[in-house]
Amino acid sequence: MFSWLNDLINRFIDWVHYRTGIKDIVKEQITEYRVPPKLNKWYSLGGLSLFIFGLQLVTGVLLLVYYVPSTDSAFASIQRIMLEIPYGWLVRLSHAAGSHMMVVIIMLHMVSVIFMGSYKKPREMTWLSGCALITLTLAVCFTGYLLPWSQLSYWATTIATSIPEPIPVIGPFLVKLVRGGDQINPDTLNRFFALHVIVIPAVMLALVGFHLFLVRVLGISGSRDSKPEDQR
Amino acid sequence: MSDELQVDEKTIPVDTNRRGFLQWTLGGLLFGGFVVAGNVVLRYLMPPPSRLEKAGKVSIPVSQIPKGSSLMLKHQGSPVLAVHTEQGITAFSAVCTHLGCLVKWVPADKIFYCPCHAGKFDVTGKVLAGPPPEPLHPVKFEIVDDNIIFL
Repeated sequence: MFSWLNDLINRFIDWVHYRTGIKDIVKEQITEYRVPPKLNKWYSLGGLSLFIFGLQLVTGVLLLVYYVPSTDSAFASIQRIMLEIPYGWLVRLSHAAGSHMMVVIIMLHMVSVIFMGSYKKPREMTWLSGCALITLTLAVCFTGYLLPWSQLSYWATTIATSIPEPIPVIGPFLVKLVRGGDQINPDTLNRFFALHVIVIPAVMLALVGFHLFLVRVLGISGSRDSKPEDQR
Repeated sequence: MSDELQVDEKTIPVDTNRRGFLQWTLGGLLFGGFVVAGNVVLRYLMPPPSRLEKAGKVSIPVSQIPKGSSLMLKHQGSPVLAVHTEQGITAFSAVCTHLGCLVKWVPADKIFYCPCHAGKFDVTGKVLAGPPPEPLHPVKFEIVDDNIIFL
């Protein structure tokens, strides 16, 4: 019934394959990629967090369409997204729920790596880049929390940015650096906005690429139930 | 050779049919998912209808345009410029007849001025200078009980 469509798709794929060798890459990296036997559910967490990261990028760009990063209009623009824009509530709440789920799943991912010993030689760099990604995930959650400029986000950020204050000598300096002033002020919103929408996501994207590159170069470590030769 | 042919005929078509069915089902479900998600994104990106557009007839009190002033408002989804001069109240579509920029009223010179290519119109909408090919389009209105009602 759809043979003509199949032919069309195949002709397109052949055209691309001739110029890129895409079929071999797909064969080596996806369809005939061999993983150690007896993997379990815990091995899905990395891919799951990648999926949520992608979802956060899409919903984040959509929110950027209507969000206004200024102390005068930030809260009103959030209200507009929630109440007026069609499906605005869905986009915003997906972004908020996605941020929570990303932290949960990334933590579970880390726990599984710890308990299965997958961080050991030769995978130390994968582990370290993962640690950096967890830190950046928390940073992106933290900076995003201020953006609605509500009472909750204002005071939560006041409290959280005061955490480094007791550090001897450099504490007060650090607080002032993060806030861009002695208190949370309009500049704080703008610098958190810049960090949240471009700086941290761009670094995360590069690190995710590095993390995945290492996973593919080194292969997946076997589970406890795999044969010894697969457990490298 | 003939045995192999028999095997081919009996098993492979069934197998490819099942595989094909599953591939098309999965592909269809994925495509359906993308259509639903695409609909959400499209609806989200469409500007929501403004309350003024829904209202139908736009009416403003005459006192809102004192003599010598002008007012930009939205009527039937397009911008309208109402002006109050010594000759009374006039209203034109604010869309310049040249390339569609929005003209503004300059009280000092008593002209409509287009910021894009310096088109100038007098108080009756006639072209005074610049590239506009035709006069500004007038907007009909009536004044009832000191209210300007745009038609």
